[in-house]
Amino acid sequence: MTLVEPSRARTAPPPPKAVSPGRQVWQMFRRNHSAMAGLFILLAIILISLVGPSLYTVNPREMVWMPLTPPGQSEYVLGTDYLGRDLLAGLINGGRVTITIGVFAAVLTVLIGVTVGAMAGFFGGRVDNLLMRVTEFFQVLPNLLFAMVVVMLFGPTLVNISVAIGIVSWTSTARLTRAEFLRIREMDYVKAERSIGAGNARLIWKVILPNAAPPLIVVAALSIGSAILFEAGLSFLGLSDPNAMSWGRMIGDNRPYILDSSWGVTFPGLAIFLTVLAISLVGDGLNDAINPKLRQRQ
Amino acid sequence: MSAPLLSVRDLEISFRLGTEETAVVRDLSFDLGEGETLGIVGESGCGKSITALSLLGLVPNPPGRVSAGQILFQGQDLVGASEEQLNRIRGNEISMVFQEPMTSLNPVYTVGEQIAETARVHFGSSRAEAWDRAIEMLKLVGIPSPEQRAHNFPHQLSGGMRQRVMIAIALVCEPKILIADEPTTALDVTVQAQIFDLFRELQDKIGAAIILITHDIGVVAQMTNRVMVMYAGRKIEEGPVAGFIRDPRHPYTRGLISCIPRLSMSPSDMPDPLFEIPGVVPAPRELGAPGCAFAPRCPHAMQRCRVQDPALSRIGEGRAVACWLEEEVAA
Repeated sequence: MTLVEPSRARTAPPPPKAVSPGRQVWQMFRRNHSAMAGLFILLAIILISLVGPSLYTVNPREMVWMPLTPPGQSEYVLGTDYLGRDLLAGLINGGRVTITIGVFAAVLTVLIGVTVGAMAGFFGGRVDNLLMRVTEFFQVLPNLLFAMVVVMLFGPTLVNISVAIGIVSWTSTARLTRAEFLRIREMDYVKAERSIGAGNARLIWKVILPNAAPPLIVVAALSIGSAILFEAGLSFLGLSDPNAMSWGRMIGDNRPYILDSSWGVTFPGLAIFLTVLAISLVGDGLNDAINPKLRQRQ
Repeated sequence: MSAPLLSVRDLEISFRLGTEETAVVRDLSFDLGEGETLGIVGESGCGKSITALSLLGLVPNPPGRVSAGQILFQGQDLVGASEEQLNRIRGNEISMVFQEPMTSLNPVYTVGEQIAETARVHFGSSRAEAWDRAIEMLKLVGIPSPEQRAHNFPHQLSGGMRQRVMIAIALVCEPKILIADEPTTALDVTVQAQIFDLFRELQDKIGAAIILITHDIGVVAQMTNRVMVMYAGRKIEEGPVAGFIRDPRHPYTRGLISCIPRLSMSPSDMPDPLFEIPGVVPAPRELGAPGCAFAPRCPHAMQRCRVQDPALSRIGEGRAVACWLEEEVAA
């Protein structure tokens, strides 16, 4: 056995480098191939939606060729719809609207859901009881029907459609938030924060919420996907903003001609499918990267 | 003696169990002077921790509540105080260090941010000032390379270092009272000694009064000026630490002190295998029965002990004890 030199034994080991939780998650995420594929698809779709319209300048609302031209038979590669409008131009322009509605509705879903869930979980007792009954009320309403009623009452504008989607889909987020708050509010560090003078507002937003964030981030990401699907569903039934071109609306418009031009519904359908798939892959990847129990799975 | 910093008068804390409400702390009165160190000793479940929480207005409600008495801090009664008033006192005037350093730090913020946050809440200092203050505090509690450590997350620190950080958070506002609820129970013995050294050193620097809750008589002997022994929610003995160790009066206190093994004991003197007080602390439901709560476990229990609860009586030099034996001796 050799003795350690006293001088060396006494020097403290250098403190470990601080790795922020965000960076850790990114490192895990990067190793997940399907999630990275999803991220690239998603970024590509967003990029095309952002800069596409200025590069491919065909007006998606204008008749440019013979109606119902199949793909590859004209200069308009994806063919035309029943009004002779260019499908490719529609796809490129529709992405913006679809993604905007998806994101806006998801933000609303998370805002309502997290607020209701946080209040219910933090205060408990009568507040919890009341808020959970309200949540149940929204849960038992048929989502699509309720959203249709809202859109029809207030008119099919982009904002109203997003709000309608947000209003019908916040319940599961609220329940998840409540469950997380119930769990975290009993933690020692919450008690410790209280003992140094943290008020309720600070406990909710700055102490408990950041600790409850991981599952909520995943749900928020996935709810963009479901909002996009929901918007497509509403548009398919004819409830879309007449002034905005969205993928769902393209499917809805071309629905009557589905036997003559399968391409009219296929391409926007594929676009929606790809986007939602990419979002789901990213969401799953985030879940794996954030949830420490799944970390060892690689 | 000037007016005490903290004066607890006839405190009663009750918990609702099913439909009944049971007092788990009864008739508790004690004073704490400026810069003094008071030890509160007792077995698990005798009401030490809940008493500490009540000083900060943190008795979990429901099911618990302070059902009677006063907690006077610098003349202000904390029992009826509003949440805002309490929040101004918590962490600023009265701070608490908890038992579990492993779980008492928020895992999503760096330790520097957590110390700085407390300073910002109570002093309204700017971010940069608070950050400097955090580093200063880390240095004060003896954490090496505080500038780097401040950027660490709690999981990157050892238990002893986390407890130091907890102490830094508790002391950042230079409180008048620091409540330490078994601060070293979760740490190993060498770290325990360091933490207590730190307490003493900081008390000299900041001048805070300390309430030290523990079941370790050795710690009490080293650290405190005055001791209060609690049993089943009541104070049963109180006095300066020297007299308490040399000449314990209550049979329970005597029992606690005999439980400590001594190096001077020869194997033949050694009780078999170590002394223990028979039985357990009564469950909350059993409280309120007539007679002394300790009587069922007491080697000296008399007929009287089973029917009548002894009151706390002064026995000189700041000492008091609640036991019928005292009267027997006096008579």
